[in-house]
Amino acid sequence: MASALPDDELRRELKSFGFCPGPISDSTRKLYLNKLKKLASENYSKSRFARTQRPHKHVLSSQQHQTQHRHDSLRLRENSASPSHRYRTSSFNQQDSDESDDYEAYLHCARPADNVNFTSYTKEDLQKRCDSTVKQNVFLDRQLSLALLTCTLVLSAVIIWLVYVKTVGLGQNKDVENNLKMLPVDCKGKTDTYCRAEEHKVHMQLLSELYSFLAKVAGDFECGNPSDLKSKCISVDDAKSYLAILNGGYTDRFEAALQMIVQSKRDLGIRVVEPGSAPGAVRCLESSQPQMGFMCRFSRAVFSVMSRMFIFVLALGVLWGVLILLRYRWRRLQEEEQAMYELVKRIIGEVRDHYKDWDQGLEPIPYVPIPHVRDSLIPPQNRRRMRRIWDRAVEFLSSNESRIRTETHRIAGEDFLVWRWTQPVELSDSS
Amino acid sequence: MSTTSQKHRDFVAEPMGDKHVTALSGIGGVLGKKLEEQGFDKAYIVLGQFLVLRKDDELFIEWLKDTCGANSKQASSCYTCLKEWCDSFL
Repeated sequence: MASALPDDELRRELKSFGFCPGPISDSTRKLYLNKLKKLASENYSKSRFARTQRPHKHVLSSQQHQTQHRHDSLRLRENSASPSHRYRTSSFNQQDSDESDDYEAYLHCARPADNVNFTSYTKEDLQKRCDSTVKQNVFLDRQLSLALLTCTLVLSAVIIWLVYVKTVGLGQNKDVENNLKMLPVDCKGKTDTYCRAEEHKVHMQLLSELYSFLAKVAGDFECGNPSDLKSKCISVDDAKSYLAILNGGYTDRFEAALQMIVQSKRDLGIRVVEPGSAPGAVRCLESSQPQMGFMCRFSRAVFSVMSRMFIFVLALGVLWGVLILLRYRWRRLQEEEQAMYELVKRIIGEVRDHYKDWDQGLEPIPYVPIPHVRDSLIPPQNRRRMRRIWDRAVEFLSSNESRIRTETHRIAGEDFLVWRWTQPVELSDSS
Repeated sequence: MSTTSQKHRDFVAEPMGDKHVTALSGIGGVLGKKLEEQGFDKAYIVLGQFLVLRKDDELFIEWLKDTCGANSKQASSCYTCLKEWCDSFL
């Protein structure tokens, strides 16, 4: 390469390497000569490398092939281009080789658009959008579960306390024993103090025995009835015979003791039941304080408490069930939302790619039908499942995306809702 | 990551008008004098050369180095300054 090249030859040489020089003047000539030298040495080293793989003549043909390829791509643009493109290429169609070279050079000199950065729906944006609803749900969730937990704890504490009270309360009542001690004395035949005291003591003993016996019988009867009694009311004769077994002296005083019970206004724990109108009923004694075992008392207490508190327990159970359902639903909604945003991202990418393809002349129309986008993004087996998410994504796009416009167009005889990318591709570099 | 100097920011902020060539980022007193001797006394003349070279970075930096003896850092700083000015005002 000689350094004293005429300007137009220098220009042509530079163009053959695909480099487009500006005006060649005194100030720029030296620079362009240096550039040409650099390009020539680069190309030489490249072709040398190629030569080791293939024979020499193929190098030249490869260069020819390159130019041929350029012509082909040019023709391709003509055939598939939109009206504006067609105009541009057709105006050059009739020119001779120099002009077409210029056009080629123009094609090469035009700087390629840089890759668009996909920054609109970055992960941070999505996260921020999701976070607000998630935080709200989590807050509500936490509040509700705390409230329900306290309710449950309070209710269980109340139940336990009631059970305890009833258990204890169903035990021996001390008052009755005190009342028993306050009976007036009755001495048989004699009325002096000592006698009276003795009589009183014996009566007390009798009554206490009777009381325990009756209480035990009543307790047994209440708690499962192991001895198959018909009622807890013991007939007078049976009571007398039992007391006779215990102590012979009880039999005489029995009637007197009975009178005491009947006459006493205080609660002695023994009740005398007069025979009613039922046939075969006899005068019998009944304990008003059945003496029941601990387990029996406990179970009875639990049962009665639960039956009373049943309504509360039921309400609490229903609320817990509702809370669990709500949680499940919230989680499902959240997942759906995430899926929707993911889909929105992909849709935007797809529409923009379609626009770029149209810009380069690979697509005939600048807009793309919505069903086509759906079918290219979602595989057939998922389409039914994702229908809801797709609809939500479409709704979101139409209301929240400014760069995509929804229009109606007739394509191949059928009306379609289409999406058109409205942001010019060059500007989107700086976004 | 390159940081811009105050000079760069001042130049890119407004139309250059009749500013002296030393207003360009990377061009100080010494380089400015040398450019003046070559006939490039105003910033817009250097802009003219930048545009004639089709805003090409390699060529412009090479030219600047040849013309006034700037080093790579100064030349690339001047290039960046002019490029940004063009993006905003041209």
